[in-house]
Amino acid sequence: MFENLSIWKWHMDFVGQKHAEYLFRTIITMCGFIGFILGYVKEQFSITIGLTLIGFFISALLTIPPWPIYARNPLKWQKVKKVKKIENNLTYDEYKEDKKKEKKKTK
Amino acid sequence: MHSLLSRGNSVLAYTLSVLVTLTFACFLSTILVDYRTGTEMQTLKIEVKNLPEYGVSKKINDLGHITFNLDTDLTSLFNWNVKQLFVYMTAEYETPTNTLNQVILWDKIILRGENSNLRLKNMRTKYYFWDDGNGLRGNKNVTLTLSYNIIPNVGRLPIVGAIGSHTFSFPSQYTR
Repeated sequence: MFENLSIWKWHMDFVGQKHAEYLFRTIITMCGFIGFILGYVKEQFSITIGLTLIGFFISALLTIPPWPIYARNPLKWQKVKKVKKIENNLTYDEYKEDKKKEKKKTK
Repeated sequence: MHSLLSRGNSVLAYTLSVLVTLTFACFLSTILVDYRTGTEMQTLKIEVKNLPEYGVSKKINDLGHITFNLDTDLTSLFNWNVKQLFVYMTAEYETPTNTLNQVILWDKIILRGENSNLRLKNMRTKYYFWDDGNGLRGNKNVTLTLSYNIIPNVGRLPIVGAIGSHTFSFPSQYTR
Protein backbone atom coordinates (compact mmCIF):
# COMPACT_ATOMS: atom_id res chain seq x y z
CA MET A 1 0.00 0.00 0.00
CA PHE A 2 2.66 2.49 1.03
CA GLU A 3 5.41 0.89 -1.03
CA ASN A 4 4.66 3.17 -3.96
CA LEU A 5 5.31 6.29 -1.94
CA SER A 6 8.87 5.14 -1.20
CA ILE A 7 9.92 8.22 0.78
CA TRP A 8 10.81 5.91 3.64
CA LYS A 9 12.20 2.48 3.62
CA TRP A 10 9.20 0.80 5.23
CA HIS A 11 10.70 -2.57 6.04
CA MET A 12 12.62 -3.76 9.03
CA ASP A 13 15.12 -6.55 8.76
CA PHE A 14 14.46 -9.79 10.64
CA VAL A 15 16.57 -8.93 13.71
CA GLY A 16 14.92 -5.52 13.85
CA GLN A 17 11.46 -7.11 13.75
CA LYS A 18 12.40 -9.36 16.66
CA HIS A 19 13.69 -6.43 18.71
CA ALA A 20 10.62 -4.31 17.90
CA GLU A 21 8.23 -7.04 18.96
CA TYR A 22 10.14 -7.70 22.18
CA LEU A 23 10.20 -3.95 22.91
CA PHE A 24 6.50 -3.25 22.49
CA ARG A 25 5.49 -6.36 24.41
CA THR A 26 7.72 -5.40 27.33
CA ILE A 27 6.55 -1.77 27.42
CA ILE A 28 2.82 -2.54 27.26
CA THR A 29 3.04 -5.41 29.75
CA MET A 30 5.03 -3.36 32.24
CA CYS A 31 2.67 -0.38 31.92
CA GLY A 32 -0.33 -2.65 32.40
CA PHE A 33 1.21 -4.33 35.43
CA ILE A 34 2.24 -1.08 37.12
CA GLY A 35 -1.14 0.42 36.23
CA PHE A 36 -2.94 -2.51 37.83
CA ILE A 37 -1.04 -2.12 41.09
CA LEU A 38 -1.43 1.69 41.10
CA GLY A 39 -5.12 1.47 40.27
CA TYR A 40 -5.68 -1.10 43.01
CA VAL A 41 -3.88 1.02 45.59
CA LYS A 42 -5.59 4.26 44.55
CA GLU A 43 -8.95 2.50 44.03
CA GLN A 44 -9.29 4.00 40.56
CA PHE A 45 -9.52 1.62 37.61
CA SER A 46 -9.12 4.44 35.08
CA ILE A 47 -5.47 4.75 36.18
CA THR A 48 -4.93 1.17 35.01
CA ILE A 49 -6.54 1.81 31.64
CA GLY A 50 -4.80 5.15 31.21
CA LEU A 51 -1.34 3.82 31.98
CA THR A 52 -1.82 0.91 29.57
CA LEU A 53 -2.85 3.34 26.85
CA ILE A 54 0.20 5.52 27.57
CA GLY A 55 2.27 2.36 27.13
CA PHE A 56 0.50 1.77 23.85
CA PHE A 57 1.35 5.25 22.56
CA ILE A 58 4.99 5.03 23.64
CA SER A 59 5.48 1.61 22.08
CA ALA A 60 3.63 2.69 18.94
CA LEU A 61 5.99 5.61 18.59
CA LEU A 62 9.04 3.44 19.22
CA THR A 63 8.22 0.38 17.13
CA ILE A 64 5.77 1.25 14.38
CA PRO A 65 7.88 3.68 12.33
CA PRO A 66 10.85 1.91 10.69
CA TRP A 67 13.55 3.67 12.68
CA PRO A 68 17.09 3.10 11.39
CA ILE A 69 17.95 1.04 14.51
CA TYR A 70 15.80 -1.75 13.12
CA ALA A 71 17.70 -1.85 9.84
CA ARG A 72 21.20 -2.65 11.09
CA ASN A 73 21.30 -6.28 10.05
CA PRO A 74 20.40 -6.43 6.39
CA LEU A 75 20.19 -9.87 4.82
CA LYS A 76 23.31 -11.07 3.05
CA TRP A 77 21.99 -12.30 -0.24
CA GLN A 78 24.06 -14.53 -2.50
CA LYS A 79 25.67 -12.75 -5.36
CA VAL A 80 23.81 -13.00 -8.62
CA LYS A 81 25.27 -15.84 -10.70
CA LYS A 82 25.87 -15.31 -14.35
CA VAL A 83 23.14 -17.23 -16.13
CA LYS A 84 22.32 -17.45 -19.75
CA LYS A 85 19.85 -14.77 -20.57
CA ILE A 86 16.45 -16.21 -21.32
CA GLU A 87 13.76 -14.09 -22.87
CA ASN A 88 10.89 -14.38 -20.45
CA ASN A 89 8.02 -13.70 -22.75
CA LEU A 90 8.83 -16.32 -25.34
CA THR A 91 7.11 -19.66 -25.59
CA TYR A 92 9.25 -22.73 -25.96
CA ASP A 93 8.60 -22.94 -29.69
CA GLU A 94 9.49 -19.31 -30.25
CA TYR A 95 12.64 -19.87 -28.23
CA LYS A 96 13.60 -22.81 -30.45
CA GLU A 97 12.96 -20.76 -33.56
CA ASP A 98 15.15 -18.03 -32.24
CA LYS A 99 17.91 -20.51 -31.67
CA LYS A 100 17.58 -21.81 -35.22
CA LYS A 101 17.81 -18.28 -36.53
CA GLU A 102 20.93 -17.70 -34.50
CA LYS A 103 22.49 -20.88 -35.89
CA LYS A 104 21.70 -19.80 -39.44
CA LYS A 105 23.29 -16.45 -38.81
CA THR A 106 26.46 -18.02 -37.50
CA LYS A 107 26.64 -20.30 -40.55
CA MET B 1 5.97 -7.20 11.62
CA HIS B 2 7.54 -6.55 8.24
CA SER B 3 5.40 -3.62 7.17
CA LEU B 4 4.06 -0.51 8.87
CA LEU B 5 0.48 -1.71 8.92
CA SER B 6 1.27 -5.15 10.27
CA ARG B 7 3.35 -3.59 13.04
CA GLY B 8 0.51 -1.23 13.93
CA ASN B 9 -1.84 -4.17 13.96
CA SER B 10 0.38 -6.19 16.32
CA VAL B 11 0.84 -3.32 18.78
CA LEU B 12 -2.88 -2.52 18.86
CA ALA B 13 -3.92 -6.16 19.18
CA TYR B 14 -1.47 -6.75 22.00
CA THR B 15 -2.68 -3.61 23.84
CA LEU B 16 -6.25 -4.81 23.59
CA SER B 17 -5.29 -8.24 24.92
CA VAL B 18 -3.55 -6.62 27.89
CA LEU B 19 -6.57 -4.40 28.55
CA VAL B 20 -8.94 -7.38 28.47
CA THR B 21 -6.69 -9.29 30.87
CA LEU B 22 -6.49 -6.35 33.28
CA THR B 23 -10.23 -5.80 33.18
CA PHE B 24 -10.86 -9.45 33.91
CA ALA B 25 -8.35 -9.28 36.76
CA CYS B 26 -10.24 -6.27 38.12
CA PHE B 27 -13.45 -8.32 38.03
CA LEU B 28 -11.74 -11.23 39.79
CA SER B 29 -10.33 -8.93 42.46
CA THR B 30 -13.80 -7.85 43.58
CA ILE B 31 -15.71 -11.09 43.09
CA LEU B 32 -15.68 -12.03 46.77
CA VAL B 33 -16.51 -8.63 48.27
CA ASP B 34 -19.45 -8.65 50.68
CA TYR B 35 -21.52 -5.59 49.82
CA ARG B 36 -24.01 -5.72 52.70
CA THR B 37 -24.13 -2.81 55.14
CA GLY B 38 -26.37 -1.79 57.97
CA THR B 39 -29.16 0.74 57.70
CA GLU B 40 -31.57 2.40 60.11
CA MET B 41 -34.99 3.69 59.14
CA GLN B 42 -37.79 5.38 61.04
CA THR B 43 -41.18 6.58 59.95
CA LEU B 44 -42.53 9.88 61.28
CA LYS B 45 -45.87 10.83 59.78
CA ILE B 46 -48.10 7.95 58.70
CA GLU B 47 -51.39 8.65 56.97
CA VAL B 48 -53.62 6.72 54.66
CA LYS B 49 -56.05 8.31 52.23
CA ASN B 50 -58.76 6.88 50.03
CA LEU B 51 -58.63 8.48 46.60
CA PRO B 52 -59.36 7.62 42.99
CA GLU B 53 -56.26 7.24 40.84
CA TYR B 54 -57.64 8.81 37.68
CA GLY B 55 -54.64 7.85 35.57
CA VAL B 56 -55.62 4.21 35.86
CA SER B 57 -59.35 4.05 36.56
CA LYS B 58 -62.09 5.69 38.58
CA LYS B 59 -61.78 2.99 41.21
CA ILE B 60 -61.04 4.34 44.68
CA ASN B 61 -57.77 3.01 46.07
CA ASP B 62 -55.72 3.44 49.24
CA LEU B 63 -52.88 5.94 49.12
CA GLY B 64 -50.31 5.81 51.89
CA HIS B 65 -48.46 8.93 52.86
CA ILE B 66 -45.36 8.62 55.03
CA THR B 67 -42.29 10.61 55.89
CA PHE B 68 -39.16 8.84 57.00
CA ASN B 69 -35.64 9.14 58.37
CA LEU B 70 -32.88 7.16 56.76
CA ASP B 71 -29.45 6.57 58.26
CA THR B 72 -26.96 4.58 56.28
CA ASP B 73 -23.31 4.84 55.37
CA LEU B 74 -22.60 3.42 51.92
CA THR B 75 -19.05 4.78 51.67
CA SER B 76 -17.55 1.37 52.32
CA LEU B 77 -19.26 -0.06 49.24
CA PHE B 78 -17.16 1.90 46.81
CA ASN B 79 -14.10 0.05 45.58
CA TRP B 80 -12.28 0.37 42.27
CA ASN B 81 -14.89 -1.70 40.52
CA VAL B 82 -17.95 0.31 41.57
CA LYS B 83 -19.06 3.10 39.29
CA GLN B 84 -22.35 4.06 40.87
CA LEU B 85 -25.03 2.87 43.24
CA PHE B 86 -28.75 2.86 42.65
CA VAL B 87 -30.28 2.94 46.13
CA TYR B 88 -33.99 2.32 46.55
CA MET B 89 -36.41 1.85 49.41
CA THR B 90 -39.17 -0.71 49.13
CA ALA B 91 -42.31 -1.17 51.21
CA GLU B 92 -43.44 -4.77 51.54
CA TYR B 93 -46.81 -5.82 52.91
CA GLU B 94 -49.48 -8.46 52.65
CA THR B 95 -53.10 -7.89 51.75
CA PRO B 96 -56.03 -10.30 51.57
CA THR B 97 -55.82 -10.26 47.76
CA ASN B 98 -52.02 -10.49 47.34
CA THR B 99 -49.56 -12.32 49.55
CA LEU B 100 -46.68 -10.05 48.53
CA ASN B 101 -46.91 -6.40 47.56
CA GLN B 102 -43.78 -4.41 46.86
CA VAL B 103 -43.87 -0.68 46.29
CA ILE B 104 -40.77 1.39 45.63
CA LEU B 105 -41.14 4.62 47.56
CA TRP B 106 -37.85 6.39 47.14
CA ASP B 107 -34.61 6.02 45.20
CA LYS B 108 -31.33 7.80 44.68
CA ILE B 109 -28.39 7.47 42.32
CA ILE B 110 -25.04 7.89 44.04
CA LEU B 111 -22.17 8.43 41.64
CA ARG B 112 -18.59 7.66 42.54
CA GLY B 113 -17.13 10.57 44.53
CA GLU B 114 -20.48 11.90 45.67
CA ASN B 115 -21.45 11.93 49.32
CA SER B 116 -22.56 8.40 50.11
CA ASN B 117 -23.07 8.87 53.84
CA LEU B 118 -26.84 9.27 53.89
CA ARG B 119 -28.33 11.05 56.91
CA LEU B 120 -31.81 11.90 55.71
CA LYS B 121 -34.28 13.53 58.05
CA ASN B 122 -38.00 13.90 57.54
CA MET B 123 -37.93 12.82 53.90
CA ARG B 124 -41.04 12.61 51.78
CA THR B 125 -41.44 9.64 49.51
CA LYS B 126 -40.46 10.21 45.90
CA TYR B 127 -43.19 7.99 44.44
CA TYR B 128 -46.84 7.52 45.41
CA PHE B 129 -47.61 4.69 47.79
CA TRP B 130 -50.65 3.33 45.96
CA ASP B 131 -52.22 0.05 46.85
CA ASP B 132 -54.24 -1.71 44.17
CA GLY B 133 -57.29 -1.89 46.40
CA ASN B 134 -57.99 -1.07 50.01
CA GLY B 135 -55.23 -3.01 51.67
CA LEU B 136 -53.39 -0.19 53.41
CA ARG B 137 -55.90 1.04 55.98
CA GLY B 138 -55.19 -0.63 59.30
CA ASN B 139 -52.40 -2.76 57.83
CA LYS B 140 -50.32 -3.76 60.83
CA ASN B 141 -47.28 -5.09 59.07
CA VAL B 142 -45.67 -2.87 56.46
CA THR B 143 -41.91 -3.35 56.20
CA LEU B 144 -39.50 -0.82 54.74
CA THR B 145 -36.27 -2.25 53.33
CA LEU B 146 -33.35 -0.62 51.58
CA SER B 147 -31.69 -2.25 48.59
CA TYR B 148 -29.08 -1.11 46.16
CA ASN B 149 -28.05 -2.07 42.71
CA ILE B 150 -24.28 -1.89 42.27
CA ILE B 151 -23.15 -0.75 38.85
CA PRO B 152 -19.55 -1.93 38.36
CA ASN B 153 -16.90 -1.15 35.78
CA VAL B 154 -16.86 -4.81 34.85
CA GLY B 155 -18.69 -7.84 36.15
CA ARG B 156 -22.06 -8.65 37.59
CA LEU B 157 -24.81 -6.17 38.46
CA PRO B 158 -25.75 -7.43 41.92
CA ILE B 159 -28.82 -6.24 43.78
CA VAL B 160 -27.99 -6.27 47.47
CA GLY B 161 -30.34 -5.80 50.37
CA ALA B 162 -29.10 -3.73 53.29
CA ILE B 163 -29.18 -5.26 56.75
CA GLY B 164 -31.94 -3.80 58.85
CA SER B 165 -35.56 -2.94 58.17
CA HIS B 166 -38.38 -0.97 59.72
CA THR B 167 -41.90 -2.20 60.32
CA PHE B 168 -44.82 0.13 60.87
CA SER B 169 -48.62 0.01 60.74
CA PHE B 170 -51.10 2.28 59.04
CA PRO B 171 -53.87 3.94 61.07
CA SER B 172 -57.33 2.47 60.82
CA GLN B 173 -58.89 5.81 59.91
CA TYR B 174 -58.63 7.55 56.58
CA THR B 175 -57.21 11.06 56.59
CA ARG B 176 -59.38 13.53 54.70
